[in-house]
Amino acid sequence: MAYLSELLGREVRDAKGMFIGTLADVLISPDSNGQPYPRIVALAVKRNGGEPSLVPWGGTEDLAGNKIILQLPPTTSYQSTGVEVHLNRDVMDKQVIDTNGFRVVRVNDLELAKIGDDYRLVNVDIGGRGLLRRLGWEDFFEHVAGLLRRELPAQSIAYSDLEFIPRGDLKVRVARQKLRELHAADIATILEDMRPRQAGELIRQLSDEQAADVMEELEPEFQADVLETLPTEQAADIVEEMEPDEAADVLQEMDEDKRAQVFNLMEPDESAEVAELIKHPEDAAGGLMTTKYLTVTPDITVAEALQRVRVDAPTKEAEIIYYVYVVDADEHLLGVFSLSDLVLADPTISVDTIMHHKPLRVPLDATHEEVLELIAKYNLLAVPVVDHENHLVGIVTTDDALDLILPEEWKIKLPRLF
Amino acid sequence: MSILRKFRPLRTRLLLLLSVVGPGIITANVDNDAGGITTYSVAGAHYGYSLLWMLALVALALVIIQEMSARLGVVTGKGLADLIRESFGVRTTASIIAVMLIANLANTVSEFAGVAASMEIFGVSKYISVPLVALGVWLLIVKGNYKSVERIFLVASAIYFSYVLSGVMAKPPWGEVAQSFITPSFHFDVGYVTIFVTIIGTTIAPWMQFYQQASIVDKGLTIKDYAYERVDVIVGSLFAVLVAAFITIACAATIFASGQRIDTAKDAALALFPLAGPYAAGLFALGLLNASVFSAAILPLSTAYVVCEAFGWESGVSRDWKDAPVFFWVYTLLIVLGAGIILFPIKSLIETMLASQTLNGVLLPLILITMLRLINDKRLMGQYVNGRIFNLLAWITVVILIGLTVILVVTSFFPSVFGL
Repeated sequence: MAYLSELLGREVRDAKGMFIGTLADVLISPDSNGQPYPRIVALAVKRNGGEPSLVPWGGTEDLAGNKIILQLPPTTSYQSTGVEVHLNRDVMDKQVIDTNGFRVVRVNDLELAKIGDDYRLVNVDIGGRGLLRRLGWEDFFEHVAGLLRRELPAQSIAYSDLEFIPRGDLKVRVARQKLRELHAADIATILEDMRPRQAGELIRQLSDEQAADVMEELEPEFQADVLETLPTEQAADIVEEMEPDEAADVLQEMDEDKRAQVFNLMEPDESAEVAELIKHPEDAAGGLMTTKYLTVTPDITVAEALQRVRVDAPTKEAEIIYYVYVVDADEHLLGVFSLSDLVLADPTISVDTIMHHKPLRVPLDATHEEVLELIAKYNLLAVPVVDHENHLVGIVTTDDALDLILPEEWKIKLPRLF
Repeated sequence: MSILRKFRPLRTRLLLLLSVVGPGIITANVDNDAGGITTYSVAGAHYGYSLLWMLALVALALVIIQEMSARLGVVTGKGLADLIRESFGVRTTASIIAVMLIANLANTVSEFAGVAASMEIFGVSKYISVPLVALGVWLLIVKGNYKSVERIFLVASAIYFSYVLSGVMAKPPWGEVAQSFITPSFHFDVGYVTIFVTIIGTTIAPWMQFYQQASIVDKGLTIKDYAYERVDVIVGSLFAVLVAAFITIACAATIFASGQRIDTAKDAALALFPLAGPYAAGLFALGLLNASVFSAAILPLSTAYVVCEAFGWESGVSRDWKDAPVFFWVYTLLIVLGAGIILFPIKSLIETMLASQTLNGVLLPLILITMLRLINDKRLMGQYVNGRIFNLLAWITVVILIGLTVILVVTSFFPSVFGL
């Protein structure tokens, strides 16, 4: 086992024992043919104060001693594949993602270990111990800790849990598989640790759909900051994929100028829907509702209605399919029935006979409390929103309503301090 | 697109500007803190208008340095401590942070000294004012979120106009004032040299670069916002120096003219009372209070940012205690210690202020050189590295500042070294 911080600056000698230079960097290749830990591919050796030159790694060098003996002649030059990571230049002291703990951490040291014959990058030291080692105080503090019969706390993450943060100057194409496999809410937790720019660069690595899912989990204010760092077209693509109500929230947080640009680049029908929602004040039912729901007319049969649900749910991207709203040709809200009503009913009768004729509803300007109260009291999954002429204009779903209460709970800060 | 950009309506451009301003103006205003006001008051009271000419140069230096800090922020999207850690490693970072922690604690103490002094002018005991302000400032950050905090601070910036009013009410001879802005003069006596160096030391302080860059980055500003952010920085710097000039003018027109001596900003406010009337004195004290509160909130905040950023702990005003324990602990401890030290009877507050300026002096060269190395790093800045002329100007500024701070540090330890 060896720490990068202790390897840097070590003497490098050739097989005959001739001094060549000092170690400036260690290069690994992240695509290690299915191996869980990447192997060393080259060393950067600094000769006589010049720029470090790359020497290929032989495979059997020993890193445990106080000098490194090269196995290949130092005149062989290393053929770069363009995907190497320079551990000192690109990883040491930089921020990386711990995909297991869903957080951003700073690299204090890197641990290389011998697996089989060869050295590989196994762990990333992110704890105080790594900092002490870098400062040259590890032995002292270990001694002090020993006197107190304690161990210095070591904190590290395995390479298999590590994900690099894309950066302008890190030219490696690291497979971002680990990140993509995470749940949107977990990726959002990671992004919250980042500055808007960094978060933006990470978002760009995801597909538009996944990016939209992640965005929806973030605070609208931060969403706007992140979106504003992206190229306008990409921002528009992501906003398009978001639920219209979430999209309206984030657009409202953006600068007027940037908002207009994003708007212009969105698909017309998507932007029309968002434009409709954005008109409503955020603190009322209108600002909370979505326009993705299912409707039928009262004159069709149960079988026809069921068919409509099958067809419309995916094409309209309905947020919920458990409630189907019955409206007339002018979109006046007439009634509602649930999916179970539909499934259990005789397929040949008209939906008019199974629907609830006086559906619960809220006006556009209903307060958040009124919406929440209704949903809680009647155990609803969603509540329809109507304008003053009883036109159905949207629905508020339970999970959007839930978001209103939960953040308050999370904001109980500063426990047991004073 | 480029044509569209040119003819973009004025209203849109104004809105854009308003959405970007903040970091530069706030930073520059915190700069006129209790220590700064004391220095400018003493400068005016003892040397009349004769130091005004150097404020013009200070403004130039301030603009150069704060512009670089803003550029580092918009190009890299990272804070200064972040960049220092990534480019220079643990040892350099740890040394800078250690000095910074002590220096900023000393600075915070002097801000609370300003709170105590200004409230005493209004007849409020420091045992009431200091704990109340400390608690208020702490709650503002811990319970608020960054945007609302920033708005409050922006509004607070307007209170600095009270100094401009004080200055005007003191009825200075405007012809002579204008003349002294363009007439360089220099006296070789210890007091003059000290005040000369101290003016620069309090106006260009090391925490400013950290704070400004962090707030730019947290705002998510990018190179596209740079043109507007530069306006923010320049306007902020000029406004800060304008306020400094009016403090000097107010004291020069009254206290200097009557031949009194003062040692603190409180003395200045009290001396203004009979000379310029109760309103001028009251405005002066209000300005001092605002400056002290403003800075007492931002200094600990900036420090907490820097510490977390450097060592990779979670940070940010918009997070809560559980997510960012180190951030809130550093912030809280600085306020508690800063306010606490004032409440204990200590020999001399002037000594504390002096100590904080000396530590700032040690830190400033380190930070400025680091900044220049970072901003000229092609890997980091790409095409946005310093231009040749700007770089020359920046290095000249830095070398002069370093020379002056060396003088300041030496004179504060050995007051008689120059034997002037």
